[in-house]
Amino acid sequence: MENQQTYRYFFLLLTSILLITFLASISLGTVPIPLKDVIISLFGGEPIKSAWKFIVLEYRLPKAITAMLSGGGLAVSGLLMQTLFRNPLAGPFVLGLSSGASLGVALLILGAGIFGASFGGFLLGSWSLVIASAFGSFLVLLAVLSVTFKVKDTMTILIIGLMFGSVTAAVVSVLSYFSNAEQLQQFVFWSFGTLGNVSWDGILILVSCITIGLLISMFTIKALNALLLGENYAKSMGINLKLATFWIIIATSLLAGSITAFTGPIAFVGLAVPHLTRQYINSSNHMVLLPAVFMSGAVLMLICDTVAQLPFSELTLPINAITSLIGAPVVIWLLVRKRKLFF
Amino acid sequence: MSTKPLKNTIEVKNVSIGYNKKKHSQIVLEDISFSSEKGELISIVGTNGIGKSTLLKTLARIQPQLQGEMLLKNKAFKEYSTLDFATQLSVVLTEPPSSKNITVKELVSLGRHPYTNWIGILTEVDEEIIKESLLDTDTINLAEKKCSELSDGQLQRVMIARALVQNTSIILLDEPTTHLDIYHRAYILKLLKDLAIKKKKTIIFSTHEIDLAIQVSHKMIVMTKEKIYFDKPDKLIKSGCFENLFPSETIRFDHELKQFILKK
Repeated sequence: MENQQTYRYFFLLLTSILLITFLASISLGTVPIPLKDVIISLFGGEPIKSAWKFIVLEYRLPKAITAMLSGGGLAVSGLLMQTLFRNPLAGPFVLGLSSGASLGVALLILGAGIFGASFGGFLLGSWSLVIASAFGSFLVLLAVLSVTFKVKDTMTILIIGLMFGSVTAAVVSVLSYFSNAEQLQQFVFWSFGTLGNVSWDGILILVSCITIGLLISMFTIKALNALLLGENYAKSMGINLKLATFWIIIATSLLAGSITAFTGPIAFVGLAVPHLTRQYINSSNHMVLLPAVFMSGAVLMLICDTVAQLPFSELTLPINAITSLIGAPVVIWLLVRKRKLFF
Repeated sequence: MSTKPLKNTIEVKNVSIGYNKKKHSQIVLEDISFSSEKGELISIVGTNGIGKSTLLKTLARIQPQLQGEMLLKNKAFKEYSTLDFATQLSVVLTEPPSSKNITVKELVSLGRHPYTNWIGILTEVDEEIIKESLLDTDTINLAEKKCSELSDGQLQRVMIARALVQNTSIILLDEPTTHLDIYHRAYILKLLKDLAIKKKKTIIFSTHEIDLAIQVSHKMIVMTKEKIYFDKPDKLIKSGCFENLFPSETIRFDHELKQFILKK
């Protein structure tokens, strides 16, 4: 098959781009570190300045890994949702996952003021933020799942997910209204998204969640491909639709939920990367799409992260803004050029 | 299994079709009986909304069987697992594929799903079967095209190729001739008859092309509100069931020409 040959070159190319952006993201920042010293530090050697080793290993490497994992993971969950709902507008957050996470964090930060400051101060460690947002998205997920078992139509599930999202967003608004400026600021900062706050312990948890999520996704590849023809066809080809839907939603929640818990809500990547990937990959087969989308998501997030650090300056921009600022024009340009949205 | 030779591929006895609502079921049509044999092309005709699609969807297990008995190779439809059923019966529905980006080759390959491994790798045998089906339906030159680039007639042939690849003894098609010009309508029906005879398949399809269906089908199911007729086309014409199919003030059925004539 000549197709498989092309895919091999394609993945080789994508891997090299991933490697380059990975190294660039570590090398550039407030203190630019020469590429040679980055590589020396990564392999345990001693760079010219010993501070560089510390910066690379304790700050920039975890950040770059988080960027790769979150970009790839969000992109894959976007792909899963778009195929499950056969809707090009679907993304990882259509099921209300990010609103659930926001609610959890809002309850923690903003609710602290309402329930008393001493209690709140005790809770506001970085870990409690992760737990709160994971708990929030998990609750919304449970609600969506229980609906999934009652409602058959995926479009209805999609709308119900959006409704859950609205309700949680409304609760967050009410909480914000009754909060003081300081707490509000803290919440807004969380919602900007950040890649830099994940420790090595956190990365271990993130890696486990994403590995499990990707493994489950792999087992749904056949169902995903069959769903490209619609639910009735998928069933007629021997796919257990309820079971497949269940696992696809579990995989998405694991991916998007765990990532949001650690990095805050990162918009755009999940929705746009599958579309970007479809523009240059001439296949609808998820066996090819899934790894391609994961790697593209990782590359895009590394680039966004590099830009967000504003190399050679002391400023860092919120990652959530950068993903949209870079990504949206790219998608618009591609769509205008090709004139149609492939799905 | 070898105790008695299988004559009937499908046996439907006194079946009611319709929808399950919350507490009660809404019956569209009752008392449907027919049976099919290997190598038979059977058409389903009747007015709009009489329940042709519902019958096909009930046979495909997309919609519930409300009453009666349905046997597939002497075993009740309900007893088949989803996967086993997929190796026995394939469908061509009226709904277009959800993805427009999918290529013809990819779409047709999906038909191998009941036979491939957990991740869907195609073996050489699978590739052979896919190629053969593309040749049979004259779609091999479309293999690398995207579905969005196909004409209605081409897409219909591709969907038939996908059903063939599924390698089932029964194929159901819901209105395969809709949206096609007269040449393609005839082409599709001829193709179906060839496949039924050469590949020993039972092919059941619904259509509004009663004239063509009379010419091409081995047997026909004529659905009217009062009764369901099932027989060979010639006998059905003699029985006069086509006369009652439509209100007689607009069209009438001509026995000699075996077709409907517009009343002046």
